Amino acid sequence: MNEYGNRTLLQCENLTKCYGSTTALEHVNLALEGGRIVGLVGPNGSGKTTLIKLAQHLLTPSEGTILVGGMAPGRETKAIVSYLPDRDFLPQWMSLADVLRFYEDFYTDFRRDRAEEMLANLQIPNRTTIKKMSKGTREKVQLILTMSRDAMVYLLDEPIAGVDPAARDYILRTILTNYNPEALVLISTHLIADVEPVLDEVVFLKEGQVVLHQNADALREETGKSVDGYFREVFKC
Amino acid sequence: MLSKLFKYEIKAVGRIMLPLYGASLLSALVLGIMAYFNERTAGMDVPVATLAILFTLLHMAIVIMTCVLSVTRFYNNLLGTEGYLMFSLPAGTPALVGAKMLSAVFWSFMSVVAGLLSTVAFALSYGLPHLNEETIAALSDLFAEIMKRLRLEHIQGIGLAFLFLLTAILAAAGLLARIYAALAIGHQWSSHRILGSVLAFIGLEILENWIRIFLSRTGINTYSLFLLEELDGSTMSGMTTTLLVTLAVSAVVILLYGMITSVLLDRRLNLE
Amino acid sequence: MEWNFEAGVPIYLQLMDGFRQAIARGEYPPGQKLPAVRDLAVEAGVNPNTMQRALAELEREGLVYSMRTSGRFVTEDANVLETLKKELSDACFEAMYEKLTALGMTEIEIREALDRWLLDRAGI
Repeated sequence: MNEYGNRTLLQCENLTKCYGSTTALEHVNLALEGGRIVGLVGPNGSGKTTLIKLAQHLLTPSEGTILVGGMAPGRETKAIVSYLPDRDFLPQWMSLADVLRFYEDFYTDFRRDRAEEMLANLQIPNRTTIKKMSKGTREKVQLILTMSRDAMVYLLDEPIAGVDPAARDYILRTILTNYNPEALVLISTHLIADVEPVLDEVVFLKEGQVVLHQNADALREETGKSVDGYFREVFKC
Repeated sequence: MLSKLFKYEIKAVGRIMLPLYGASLLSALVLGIMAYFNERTAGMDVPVATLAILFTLLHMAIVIMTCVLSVTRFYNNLLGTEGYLMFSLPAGTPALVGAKMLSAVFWSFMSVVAGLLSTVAFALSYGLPHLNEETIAALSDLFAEIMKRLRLEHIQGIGLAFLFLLTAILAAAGLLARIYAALAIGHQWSSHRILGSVLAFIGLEILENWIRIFLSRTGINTYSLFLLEELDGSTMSGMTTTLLVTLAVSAVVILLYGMITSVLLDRRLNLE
Repeated sequence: MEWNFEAGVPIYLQLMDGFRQAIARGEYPPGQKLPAVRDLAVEAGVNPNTMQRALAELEREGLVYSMRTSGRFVTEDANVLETLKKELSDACFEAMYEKLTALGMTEIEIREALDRWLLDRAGI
């Protein structure tokens, strides 16, 4: 293993985030290592997005600490974290060529050839603006850009929410084909069945707390259920 | 990193401003030529008037768009959904805020230049066809006369005019910095963020005045531009000092607001 | 290979089963080089670590072997392949036996029924 594999890349200690009087995350302790694909699962509002945004310094903790690659989130960590937000984030006026240049300019780990190869399959003309793309195409372009970086940590917030099965397979294949094997891939989702086979570990979040953090196959063996089946049991209403 | 951010900011604004500049320049040229011909062959009053209105409207559009974009680029690009992209770049928050500020100053300057250029373009396209031996001789006489009378004070005067322009731009930037700070403060509200920003802007205005009044009581006058008599604004050197003081005050104001904005966006960011 | 994973069984075990079948069927003939772990994982849509584990287990069982530099190969050991086939067919018989005895059939009846069924199937 090299310098990142098996090294703790995301660490939370007593991590708490409140918005006014509501608590989104409560005393979360978590350590995730490189070389793993981890599913961050939980129903809507369980704190998945909050945790990811804290890791990317888009939010600051109310209490406790979060470290990415051993550093407090900031300028240095953003250089090694590739983040896919759960919404459209590219400027509408930019063309595909503009966006590629933008990524190339700002991220030294961006592999333009890799992005272009994947984009070629989508057959989008380079001059097409983000605005003119269909929702599905836009989501794929955003994922391709995110996965074309040789990052140490990938934070993918709901990458498969609301897509059809063909698009889901495309997305999972894109992730599996492109992630850096020493990196940590954190995929948040409320649709576990769809991502289950690609996960090493699962972290269950419930009302802002980690209720389970385990190897996915071990969980299947122990419970005799799929992770998804077990999830439904834990979060039964 | 700041230079890269600045470059993208220039590009994002330029894609709107450059066509406007181009259109205003073109309309100035066409207007000049049509006005020239209208003097000889009557009956082009209506097109000339229409074009004159268009020319004016374009100039207004340049002014309005320069102001509007200076604010919306900050609001949409940093505090809207594009903020997810911008705040994920390996750049410090001060660089993100600074790039917006520099770009706004740059484009304000460019808009002034574009306005002047299109006026010159009108003058040339209207005036050049009038040129003949007689007018050229008259013009060269005039030019020689100007050169003869030109003295050191005049050159200093031109320098002073530039200094005045710079002061005006920096004062505008100070106002913009206050708007950015107000937007950053309004961003702290969980809803009605625009209303919060407006209130914050008014609050900052009041606060800024209090501080200025307080400082003036202790003998530090930050309103010097408007109180020329204190520094004897009638002389060239007095005027220069006054402008320089104003410039320095604006710079401090911009820096302070820039710091407030950066700190708030760094520590208290909460994108929707 | 087409993959469909069952709930409640670790994925690496299901992957191992799939490979056993494929090797027994000859889809991966003896001595054949297996694709890279990552490619196999992408094809199956599973985590590369899980695929790695499945292959490592198969290696432990002797069904595949790896050469330090050139990759993983299907075993050429006839005994191992023979045993594999026997195990797989035994598993089928086991399942059939359980179902038929559940219907109340005796071993003799099963043997007779199987002979008759084979003749019927051949159209005799």
